[in-house]
Amino acid sequence: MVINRIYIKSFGGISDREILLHPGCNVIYGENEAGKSTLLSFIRFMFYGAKLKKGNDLLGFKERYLPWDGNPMEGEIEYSIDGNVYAAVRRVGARAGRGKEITVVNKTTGEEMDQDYCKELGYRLFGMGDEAFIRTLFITANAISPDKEGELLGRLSNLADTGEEDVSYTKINGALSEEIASLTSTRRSGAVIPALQREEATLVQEMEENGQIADILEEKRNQLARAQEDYHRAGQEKKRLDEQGRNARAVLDVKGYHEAEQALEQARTALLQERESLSKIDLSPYEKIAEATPEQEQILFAGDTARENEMRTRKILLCDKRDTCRKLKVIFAIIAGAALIASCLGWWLFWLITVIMGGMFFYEIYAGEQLDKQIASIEQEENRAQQKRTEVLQTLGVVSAEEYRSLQREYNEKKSCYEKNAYRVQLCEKAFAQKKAAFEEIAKVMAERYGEEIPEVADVTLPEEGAAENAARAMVEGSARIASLEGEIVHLQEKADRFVACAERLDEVRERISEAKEREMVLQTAKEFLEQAYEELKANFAPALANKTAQLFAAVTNGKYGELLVNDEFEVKIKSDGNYRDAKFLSSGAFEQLYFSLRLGIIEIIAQNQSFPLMMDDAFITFDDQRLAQAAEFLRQYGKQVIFCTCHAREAEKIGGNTIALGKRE
Amino acid sequence: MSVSVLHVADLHLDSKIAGLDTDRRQVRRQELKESFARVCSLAKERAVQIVLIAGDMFDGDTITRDTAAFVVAQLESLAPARVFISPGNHDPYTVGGWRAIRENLPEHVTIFEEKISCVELPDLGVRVYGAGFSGGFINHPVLDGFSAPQDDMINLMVLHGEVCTPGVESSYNPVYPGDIAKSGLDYLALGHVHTHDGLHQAGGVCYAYAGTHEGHGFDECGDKGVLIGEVDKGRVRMEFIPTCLRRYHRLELDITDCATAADMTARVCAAAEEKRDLYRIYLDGTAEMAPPTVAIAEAVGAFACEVIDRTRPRYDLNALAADYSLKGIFARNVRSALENATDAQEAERVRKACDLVLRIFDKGGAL
Repeated sequence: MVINRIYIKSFGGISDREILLHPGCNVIYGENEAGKSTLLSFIRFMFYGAKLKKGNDLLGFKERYLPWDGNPMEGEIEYSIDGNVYAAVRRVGARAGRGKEITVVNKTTGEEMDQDYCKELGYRLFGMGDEAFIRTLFITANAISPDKEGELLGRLSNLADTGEEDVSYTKINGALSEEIASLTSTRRSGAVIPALQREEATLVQEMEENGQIADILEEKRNQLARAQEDYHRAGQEKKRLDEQGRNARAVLDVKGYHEAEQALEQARTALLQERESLSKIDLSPYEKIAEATPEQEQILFAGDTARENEMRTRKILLCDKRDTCRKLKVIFAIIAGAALIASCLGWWLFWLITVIMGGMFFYEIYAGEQLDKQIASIEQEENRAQQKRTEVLQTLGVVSAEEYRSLQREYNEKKSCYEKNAYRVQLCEKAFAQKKAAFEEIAKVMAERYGEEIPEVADVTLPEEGAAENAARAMVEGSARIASLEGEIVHLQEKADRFVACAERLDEVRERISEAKEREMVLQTAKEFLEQAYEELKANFAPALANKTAQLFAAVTNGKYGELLVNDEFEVKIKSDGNYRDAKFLSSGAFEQLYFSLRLGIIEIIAQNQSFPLMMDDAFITFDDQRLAQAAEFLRQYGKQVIFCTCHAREAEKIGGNTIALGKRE
Repeated sequence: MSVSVLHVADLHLDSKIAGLDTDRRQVRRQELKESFARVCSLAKERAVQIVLIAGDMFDGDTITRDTAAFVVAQLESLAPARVFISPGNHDPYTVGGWRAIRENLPEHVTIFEEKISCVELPDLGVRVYGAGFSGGFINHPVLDGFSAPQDDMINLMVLHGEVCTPGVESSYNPVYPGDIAKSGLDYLALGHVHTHDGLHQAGGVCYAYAGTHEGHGFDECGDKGVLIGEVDKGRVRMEFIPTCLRRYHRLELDITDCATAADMTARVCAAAEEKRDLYRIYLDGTAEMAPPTVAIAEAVGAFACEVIDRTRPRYDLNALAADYSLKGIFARNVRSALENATDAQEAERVRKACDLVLRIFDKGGAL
């Protein structure tokens, strides 16, 4: 395909300019701002239109090239392909017009091409989109400083890698892998899906626990209701017991009161009884006896006393003695007599005996008289005593001692009765006093408790021992239980309330997980496709490119670098001085040549058997003179149409061919 | 003699709110209650005589004590109007949530149980019928065979169920127009469907869904409220009054012709003007660059706004596929995969993958 003629009616800063091109080298020479880049952009515009993405440029195509004078972008281009000559006319204004943007006419046959063809003109002609067109067929200056060879090499790698200088497969794959890892990697702490799944698990567990909360809460509420009932009942029971207790106490009180009253009455009665029986005891008859003095008693019972006995005994003894004396008297008298008589007969013994006996006799008489005196005195005393006794009897008003004795016994009995009675009376009085005091005490308490009226109480059964305490204890326990249940319920309720929020969050988390997983799948798909494409590229493109590049490189450098080894990763090894050396050792100039070779190689592979015009814009500014000469020679030999724009005279001279000077804009 | 009636349903107090962040969900849950309070004060303002609540007042598992107490307070405030409640499938009358409410149920409130029962109000000349759910499902039509006596008294019924065409079954008390026509009611107040779609007639019987009083999610968009009006023998005048505090909106905007982020923002803001409301906006069409969804949502400045990017980047797969480069081969593979795709979801995934990779290429290797 060869471009024959360009007519710029109005485009950018150029208007009404015709340029005729040859099939071989065409050099378009002009100073800066003469419009070289505009020209090349015009060519692009003609083939691809104005809706072009211009890479990272800030201005859109339209903004850049719409003429400032308000005219539309308009022009013609004539080209030959497959033996036919075509002319295309395109017009694009600031706003979308109603007419056709482009018409293409086959000048050879005269037919107008249909709109489908026209709209896809560039694609049809070059078999690639506008981005590829720019990337491939436009070769501009690299603007890489000599010391950034690494960058150049990188670009070369990328170019061989992806066909684009700025991006490598590694980088893209890396970006995808990184994104996938940040979503899924379990080794990373912040990975999205694992973190969400952890949260999901936590929430699910929380919800399971809390799912039962509704039931547990229900159960607790039932328990609370029951506990409250129990408490209520215990309260009632206690009240009842208390009431009962109060009643019982009242009853007891009243009973006690009445009992005290009764007791008092009884005591009073007893007292009165005793007093009465006491009063019935008449001791008056025994006055005299009561007043009997001990002496009198003694006198009365002198016969009984030891003295009396002694006296009597003595008297008896004395009487015995007297009798004995009398008897002795007689005896002695007899003896004496006898003796006397006998004495008359002469014996002095009998005289002695008579004297003795006579003495004894007189002694006995004396003794007998003494005894009689004693006895008489004793009898006198006895009489006296007897007299006294009689006196006493008289005094005492009794007939005999026995009477006295019996009376005395009676008196003693009665007295003891009386004393006993009196004692009982005393006891009763004490008891009475006590009961009275007790009763008054009770009465005071009753008055305090019940006021003036002593209440009437029915007789109630007394509560069991400790029943009230049990009830009180049940209440305390019940109250504690209620408090604890209420606490539990509040706690559970809080949890249950969180349940909704929990469920909502779980839904949200699950949705995010599913979104993230979908994104992961998209990323994996992207990675797969990309890898597939890369393998294909390497298999098909890289080796051919390496070959082509090697050939071209050898041609461009005039055989200096004859052998080039390029591997899949486009690591270049150059044979120099018999050794294969790493391309890093190339000089920057050689690099540029290598780069140029690579660009050309790509073109050739893409174009395959066709030929496309090569458009270059200041492509050799970094080349030194020698290399420039080599490149120029190469281009001349190239055989395909070259449109070389430059602002450097030397480049123009070296390349030669059809030289067109672009003057400054009018 | 007519009777003034308020018909409300599907309050779903304390139910799960989906699709918002935590704080806003709390606010919405609170607003469901506030909205109900507004409904009750509306009833008082209009001196309504009968309030019919057609079920799903709350969700059995999730009602809190606070809310139960609140409901009781609101019901009390409705006095002296008579209130009739037919519990729905989400709040069957057997559920624990009713216990708290029943403990303090005011006298003028009736809660219907399983069998259709009637409350006569001779002073108003009205009979109110109703039946409630005792569990999560009712598979048989409750209204089947029911016929109200035809006399001077106005016959009202409040019921939670799903209106179905004959032959269609439902697990939520299927209500057939045939049964409605035979019921002899003057007005049938329904609940279950969350949208009010006007008053309907079946054989002379007027029936309607009040819809919910406040939207619960993006599937309940537009105005929500209650029905209020007068019912007479053979004549029903009920009007729909919106009571919602906020509305949900679901918008789909094509932003293909928006060249810059500013344009996109302006377009979206123009479509989403109510600051009080909640928006979910899908951006469709093609865009050079990914729309900044978060910034746009903030710019809208509504109570809640979610912007979802469904735009596709602009590219011509065919043109790209012709390219002799990694991108070209990739595009070619993608194109043939799409041509041969059998599963729509798979195709979508491939498309998204392609968008992603091309965007990476454009950004020079970054995501």
